Amino acid sequence: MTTLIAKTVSKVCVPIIILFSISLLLAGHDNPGGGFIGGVMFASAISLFYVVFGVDHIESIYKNHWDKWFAVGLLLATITGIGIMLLGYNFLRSAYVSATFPLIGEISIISTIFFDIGVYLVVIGGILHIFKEMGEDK
Amino acid sequence: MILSMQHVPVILIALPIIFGSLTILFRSKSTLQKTLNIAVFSFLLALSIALLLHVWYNGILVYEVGEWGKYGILLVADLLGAGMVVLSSLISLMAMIYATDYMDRKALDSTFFPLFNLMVAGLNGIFLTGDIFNLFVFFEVLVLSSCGLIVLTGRGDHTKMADKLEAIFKYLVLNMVSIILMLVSIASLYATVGTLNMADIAVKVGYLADAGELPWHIHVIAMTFIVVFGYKAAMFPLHFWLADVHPSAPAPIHAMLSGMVIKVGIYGILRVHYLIFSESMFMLQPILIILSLVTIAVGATSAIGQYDLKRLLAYSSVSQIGYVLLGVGMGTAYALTAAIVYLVNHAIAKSMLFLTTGETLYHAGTKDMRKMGGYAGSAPFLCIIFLIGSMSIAGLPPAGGFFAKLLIFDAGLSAQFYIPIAIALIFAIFTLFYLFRTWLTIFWGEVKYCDPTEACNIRNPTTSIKVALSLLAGVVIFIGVYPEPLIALSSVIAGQLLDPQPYITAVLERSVR
Amino acid sequence: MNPTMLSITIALLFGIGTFMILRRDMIKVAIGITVLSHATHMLIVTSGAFLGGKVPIITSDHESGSGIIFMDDIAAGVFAPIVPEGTEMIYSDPLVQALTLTAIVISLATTAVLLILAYRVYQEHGTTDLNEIRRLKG
Repeated sequence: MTTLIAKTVSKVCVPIIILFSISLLLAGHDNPGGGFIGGVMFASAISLFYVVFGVDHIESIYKNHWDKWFAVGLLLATITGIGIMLLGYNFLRSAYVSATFPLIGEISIISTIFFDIGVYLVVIGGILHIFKEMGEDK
Repeated sequence: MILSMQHVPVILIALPIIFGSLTILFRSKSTLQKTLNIAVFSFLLALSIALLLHVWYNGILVYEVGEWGKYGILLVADLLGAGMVVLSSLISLMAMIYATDYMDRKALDSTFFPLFNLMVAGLNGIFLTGDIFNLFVFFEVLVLSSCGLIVLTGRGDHTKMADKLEAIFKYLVLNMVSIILMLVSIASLYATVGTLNMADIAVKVGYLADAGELPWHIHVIAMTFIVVFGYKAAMFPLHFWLADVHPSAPAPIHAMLSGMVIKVGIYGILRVHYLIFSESMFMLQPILIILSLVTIAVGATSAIGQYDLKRLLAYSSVSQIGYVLLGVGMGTAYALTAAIVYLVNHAIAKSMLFLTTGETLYHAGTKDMRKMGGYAGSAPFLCIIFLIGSMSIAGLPPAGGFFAKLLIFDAGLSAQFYIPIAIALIFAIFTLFYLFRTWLTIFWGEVKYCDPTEACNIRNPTTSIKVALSLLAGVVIFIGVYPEPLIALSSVIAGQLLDPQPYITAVLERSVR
Repeated sequence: MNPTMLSITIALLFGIGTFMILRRDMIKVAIGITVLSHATHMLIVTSGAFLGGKVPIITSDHESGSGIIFMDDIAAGVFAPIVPEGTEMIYSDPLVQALTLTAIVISLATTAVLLILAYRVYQEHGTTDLNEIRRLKG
């Protein structure tokens, strides 16, 4: 599938999809969205690249170990749970911090966002690792 | 702080997950990983023993994940759960020590360590969760990681890759069907009582039963759960996958699968049915007894006809699980005690036997028993360990299996199940026959060297393999010589299973922060 | 949502899934497993859905006392998803959606493993016909 149309369209679309997936990830706590959905969307964007340009071409430009993403995500998600135990709370208890930043205004940060980012990375890493390994298979 | 006793249940689940992800990041350094993983698994064993002692002295430990109170996910460590965690930690530590020398370099460098860690996390999660939906989640963790582990190869593993893949396909598809059945039953249970907390479900079902309004479909749900757990435990009509799947795995994984993973089904029946569905046990107990007798018979008779060593032992597992189910089905306090003693003994002895088998197959260079013979001279260590394992499974003193079998038969006789015990006794003789025939064929008789170019006697166990096997053999003999602590623990567990009120009280009336 | 139509749909999906599992082709078995899982997910969702129930997202303008979210009273014989008589249920049960999301994530992982397995089996055996893949016997 290396038609010019597909290449041009995917070059425009993929950054937008990735931005949307990040916005889904960050919206996840209060609104529809979340780590899993965002991760699947990110993975679908990258796999669009893989399909249109071919795995070998993408790998020659930028070599990525998606299994590392998986490991880092799993680590981040579990460490979020363990970390709050250092403060004397139970595993995965969420903490809530409000802070005022210049220019942006007040932002409240919930510790579950790190768990969500972990899930996001796990989903991306898992799906794309499968895609890449299966696509490279000769 | 982080190491206070209260946090131990969640650490037992989270630590293997953390190390699973760390081992993906450092997966090319297998020497570092071996040391690190053995250290972590020893730590887990120490933690689980500490948890068991804590539960024994201070009562049931309840942990709220995320501090969501009544509506959150709970981890409950009672004596049964903590005891199973000790058992699984012991066997996984031994399998890990064994695997560092047994598995191929390629397997150690790629997926063995992460998946093994996730598998242990799944096992610990199953034994510690107090929430029926989480039971499903940890089942899936267990199933998917063991699927990945079966593919790996070790040095005594003579199964071709094509056969392994076929076995995994069977395992995964059948597991998915049983898991879907489990989800359907969980959904119906939730629609009936409106909660997923097992203690809460037990209270509400008990309330419905007291009011005389127990809906008939509770019994149906109980039966579908029997199917689900019976599938995991390889109960008779659902046992056919085991003989294909378990022998395809490399020896340490085979030991984990046959030692711990099929015990998950027994644990499920003990936990879910004795806690929630005690109202429908009156009709499930005869079914369990009949099915367990058929399981014993089918497993033992199939094992007799086998020449493939691993397959023979897999059928032997089916047969032995039947004895545990017989104890579970008889349902008196004494019978449950016997079933738990049997379960512990079978888990340790069978995993030891499978680890020995892996090394024996490596020594022989083939998996066909007819091509083996006379290895007592070239591998005396394996000969002794195999004998101890066989004695334990067959139920001869001084190995631990003697007391397990004795208790099962005694419990059956005192509860007046004469015919089932007679049948079980006949097939116990079958067990004795096929195990000792195997031992004699492999280790005595005419010396047969399979591979003329490479003499068998240079392929001998390395030190770490010997350490793992000797420790397990020591535990088996210890249980056989001094079984009182295990029997005392099992009888307390059996008492708690038959009267779950302390469990319910501990879960529902805990102090909320 | 009409409960009758929903139950008929779920029943049909279960039937289709069971039929597909019993086919001889490996890919069809994988599809059958997926259909069965989704039928189960729909079953879980329906166990908490009520006729005319609102989406259980509580916004800041939610007035307290306008409806019941969760009723649980053992003494009165009231279990959570069952609405007591005389009260108005305006929210669906939110828990079932969390359960379904978990189940969907797990079924994604299982489907991925199943499809990779089918591919690898095809590589090793040269066929996806389950009647020809029966080397393990005895």
